[in-house]
Amino acid sequence: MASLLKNSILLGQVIPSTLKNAVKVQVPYFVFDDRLKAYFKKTEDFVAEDLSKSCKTGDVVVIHKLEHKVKKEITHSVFERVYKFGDIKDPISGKTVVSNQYRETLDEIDRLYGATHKNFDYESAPERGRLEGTKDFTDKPIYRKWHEFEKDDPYGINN
Amino acid sequence: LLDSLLQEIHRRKRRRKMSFMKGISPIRRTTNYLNASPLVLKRRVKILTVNFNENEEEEHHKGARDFVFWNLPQVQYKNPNVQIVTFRNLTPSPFITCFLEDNSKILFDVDSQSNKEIMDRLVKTVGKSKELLEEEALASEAKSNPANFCRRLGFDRHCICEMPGQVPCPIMVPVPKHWRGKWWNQGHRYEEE
Repeated sequence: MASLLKNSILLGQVIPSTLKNAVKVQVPYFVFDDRLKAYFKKTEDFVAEDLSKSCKTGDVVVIHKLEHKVKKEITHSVFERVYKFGDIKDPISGKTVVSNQYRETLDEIDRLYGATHKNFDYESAPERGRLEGTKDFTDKPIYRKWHEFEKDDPYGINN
Repeated sequence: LLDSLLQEIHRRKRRRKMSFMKGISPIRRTTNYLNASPLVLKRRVKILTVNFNENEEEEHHKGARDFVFWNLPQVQYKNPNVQIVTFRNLTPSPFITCFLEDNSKILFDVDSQSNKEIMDRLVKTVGKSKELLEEEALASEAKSNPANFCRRLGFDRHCICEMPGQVPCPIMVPVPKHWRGKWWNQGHRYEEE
């Protein structure tokens, strides 16, 4: 395993997990193939404790290595959320962004074309995560189900 | 450096085949090229993040794209303990972020800058200076050379006298006078025996 993973700070993306008090973070790193003289991407998962409980699946976070581990599995702790999934803020201008456009520009375009009401009002809408479990099934890992139980688990997908 | 390496390859092409150099711009996959980067990050920098867009039409991202294509493998080669991450098509403007040990961030706005400019800027702000690199190179050379002596400093042998076939240590067997520089320089060689 790369010695890079023993660093005190790492950057990764939160992946779906069933952990209650912690967050699984996937850290990408590059490994050098000596014969091909090229770098290939590998990922390593870490379990990090999330003290503010604000990190959701898909967020890009910076995690710090814990000096004293309370639990054997929880090796890191989330320090900073760099990008919130879905509501990415461009650090240079500070404005919310959708891929290569500012949300402001998109709204402006809509307005100029004469939209009577906006598609989705981001400002007045509640925080993301409201529909977790009811419509949004990205917070926990999904699996294939092979038997129909009485209580249907929405995270299981039919064959 | 890139130009000179390309010239070398062009010259070699006539004589022998450059086997295994497959793919786009395989010069990036030579040790010579990988070692040619002037950017060795300071120890405080632990994570380097590059944000850019892949769309060819976005000209202001071209420098960042070139940086990732040409220079990122070089940077990773010289800094194997720095986590390098790329983010594609996230924001309208390209930028590079360096995360430091003391939890601070350095943000480089690289909008419309060429990859050479980006490289120079990084070397100036977060890279080790040339003098420091030369010093370190010298220091590492001394450490790794097995031909050096001095057990106290960590090398294997204390003196050449311990190798079989060499002159025994002058502590044990005195060296013939006429071999000694002291005798030679003090003029004893001109004395009549």
